[in-house]
Amino acid sequence: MRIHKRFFAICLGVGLMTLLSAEATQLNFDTRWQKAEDLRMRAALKGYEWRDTEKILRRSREEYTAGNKAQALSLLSQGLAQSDAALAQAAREENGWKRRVIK
Amino acid sequence: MCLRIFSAIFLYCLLSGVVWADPAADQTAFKNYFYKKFPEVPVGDFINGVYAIDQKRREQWLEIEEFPPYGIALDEGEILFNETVFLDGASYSDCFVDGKRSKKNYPYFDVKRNTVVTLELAINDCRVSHGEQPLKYKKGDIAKISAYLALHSRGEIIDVEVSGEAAINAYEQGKKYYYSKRGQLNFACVDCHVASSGMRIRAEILSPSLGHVSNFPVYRFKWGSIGTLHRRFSGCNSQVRAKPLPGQSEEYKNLEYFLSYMSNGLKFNGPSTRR
Repeated sequence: MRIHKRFFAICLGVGLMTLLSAEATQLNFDTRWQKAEDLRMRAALKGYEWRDTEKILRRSREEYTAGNKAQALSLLSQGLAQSDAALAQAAREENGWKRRVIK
Repeated sequence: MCLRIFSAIFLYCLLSGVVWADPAADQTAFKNYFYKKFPEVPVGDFINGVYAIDQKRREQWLEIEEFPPYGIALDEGEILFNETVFLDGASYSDCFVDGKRSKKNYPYFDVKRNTVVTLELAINDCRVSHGEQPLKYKKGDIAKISAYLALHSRGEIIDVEVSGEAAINAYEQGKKYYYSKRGQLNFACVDCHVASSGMRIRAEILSPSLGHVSNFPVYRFKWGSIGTLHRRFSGCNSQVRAKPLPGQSEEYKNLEYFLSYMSNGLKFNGPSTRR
């Protein structure tokens, strides 16, 4: 009887942890995806959005919804890196273009 | 003391890369760069783009121009311009003072609207003001009408005026766009069409920027149809993996304004054929 109780408690614990972990992953993905999207929008507002970033992020969301989490996270990293780099480019070019003017 | 302060300010500006807004000086420097880089090209020949600097391609192009692939688009453009009757009974010629010879009047800076007005924008403004839907900006009917108008401005001199604070600001925005690196490949217009002009990019030769605007709209073999200058801008953006902008966006209009001013003094020779 005691063994059965212990077994039941372990199962309940594992189940709860899995549930919480899945929720945490979803939350983590959503937060990171939103961050990438915000960065992309900021780059777009400055006129420096890259060609494929929006598509990459959209595909990342689709893969996640379809359950292909590894692929989704890989695409999300790409999208995040592109958005970041586009913003850095915008900051660099704020004055950087002047060096290229023909004099 | 005054001299010291002046020198310090001058040195600071020089080191920080401050660029003074002087369109005329920009234009002189821009033209001189290409005159020096391609001394064998007659000044007026820069309107022919890559065909001004590569003899073999020029010969092929001249043969193509004998029976140009934009011929059908021109005929359609003529019909569209002359025979379209708007809902209120007006026609295109009611909007263009110089009728079919109007290309030479564009682009210009409209102080009231505080924006650059290009030929394609004017065509759609005309339509909208007479109760019609605007046309799509990059290809199709607008390119055909634009080609027909360009044909009748062949030989006219590009003479874009940049005066007044707002116009200079638009010019500066266009200049900034031209010289700014963008996209995943980190390229600026200047990288391909100034420093690398005349060099090969795979099987193609990069054309010099001087005179770029004179021959649009163009029939491109890659497109298999006729397209506007802003369609080409989009293509360039896309090739360097930057997000292309919509036709007649402020950025593209300002870029057209800047490039047209750089080509002042050259002749319009559109429409034309490009690879």
